[in-house]
Amino acid sequence: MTLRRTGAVAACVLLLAAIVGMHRLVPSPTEQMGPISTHGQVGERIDTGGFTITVSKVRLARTLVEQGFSPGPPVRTDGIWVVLTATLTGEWKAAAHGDTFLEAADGTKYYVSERSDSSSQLTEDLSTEPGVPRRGRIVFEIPPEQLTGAVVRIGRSETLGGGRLAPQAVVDLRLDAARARAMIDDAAPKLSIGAVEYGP
Amino acid sequence: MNEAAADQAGGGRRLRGTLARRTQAGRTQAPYLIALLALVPLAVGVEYNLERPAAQGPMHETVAVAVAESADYAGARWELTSTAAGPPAEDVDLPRHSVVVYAALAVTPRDARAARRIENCDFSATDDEGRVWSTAAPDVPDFAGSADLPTGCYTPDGDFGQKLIRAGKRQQVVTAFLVPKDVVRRLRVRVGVRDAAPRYLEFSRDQGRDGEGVGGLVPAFPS
Repeated sequence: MTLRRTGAVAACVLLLAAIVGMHRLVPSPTEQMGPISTHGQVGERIDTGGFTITVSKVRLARTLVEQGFSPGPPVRTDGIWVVLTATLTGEWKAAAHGDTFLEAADGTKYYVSERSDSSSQLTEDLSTEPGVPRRGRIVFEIPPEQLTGAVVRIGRSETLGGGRLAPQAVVDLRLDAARARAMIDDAAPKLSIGAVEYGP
Repeated sequence: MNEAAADQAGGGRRLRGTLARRTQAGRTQAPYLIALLALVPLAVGVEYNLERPAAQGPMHETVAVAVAESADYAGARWELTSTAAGPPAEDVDLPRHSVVVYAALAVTPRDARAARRIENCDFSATDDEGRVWSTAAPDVPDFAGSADLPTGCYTPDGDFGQKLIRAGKRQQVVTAFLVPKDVVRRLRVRVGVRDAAPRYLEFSRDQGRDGEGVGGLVPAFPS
């Protein structure tokens, strides 16, 4: 009788543990409805299923100089400008990719700089159309110490639905401490950035 | 034996009593049952009628218009008169494998109210996969050969002004799309007017032509 009771108690404990374990496996709301990520690196064509992006170059600068019809004054920073050159192609309909940010190794997010002219920012307008590649810059302003281990997440922003289950490209900048330090030391004093254009 | 008869008689009384009670209960509950039978279909019918307009939108998003035919939409008559791939503006570098497709339409508003309603009409293009292209950026197409035709549903007024299309007037309008070359033959031009039903008017294509024109019409614009 005692043995039977012990078995029943053990079964109850096991079932409770199983319930707790299963409950922990339930995806969080963010996991259920968050962006669907596709990972890649600089120089690699990343096809998210919702858009395609290739980040071809990463440059650092202390001052940005806008080009175009009515360029403003040079824009200095106390941190560092991180300027990505990328080609972006849409897949379904005209869309913006405003859910774009640089994520530091400690999880801090730096969104695309609003101090840089939006006409030169590849992800900030609604002009990315299916099958028509556009080439331009993605500009972040960050503290230099946050560069090591940083990744850039480019996400399609939805007018409706708040970007739920939206495609997202995760670009690993491949910047270990030594490489980040070297890039910061070699940062351009001034960097000219032009408007978004078609191509290639 | 007497006991058995007494039992039988007692059972009969119980049965009659039960039946009587059930009949009484049935009479009491009958109005509720009748009300239920009347109200359930009524509730379903009311809900169906209330939801029907909302359900019709996505299920009837477009109405396809055959080649060279016109259709009524948002109080106006619409016709796709010409489509053709053509060169971009002089200083525009298009991406490889892309082309500018020009479309000319004719629109005739039935009355002044319709002219006002369609003033902010929206053009787009779609293919068989459901991909959608908005009109090309203003600096991309070359409208030099369009004889100052408007690029929207209005009538030009002076150099830069615009006014409503006069009721009954057949106004020619032009638009352009930047699309990959491989979709040109599958491209269909759409017209949308805010709050109009269906959501879009879509001009179907004709695969039987030479493929230069989109929608199967003879390329006539730009020259």
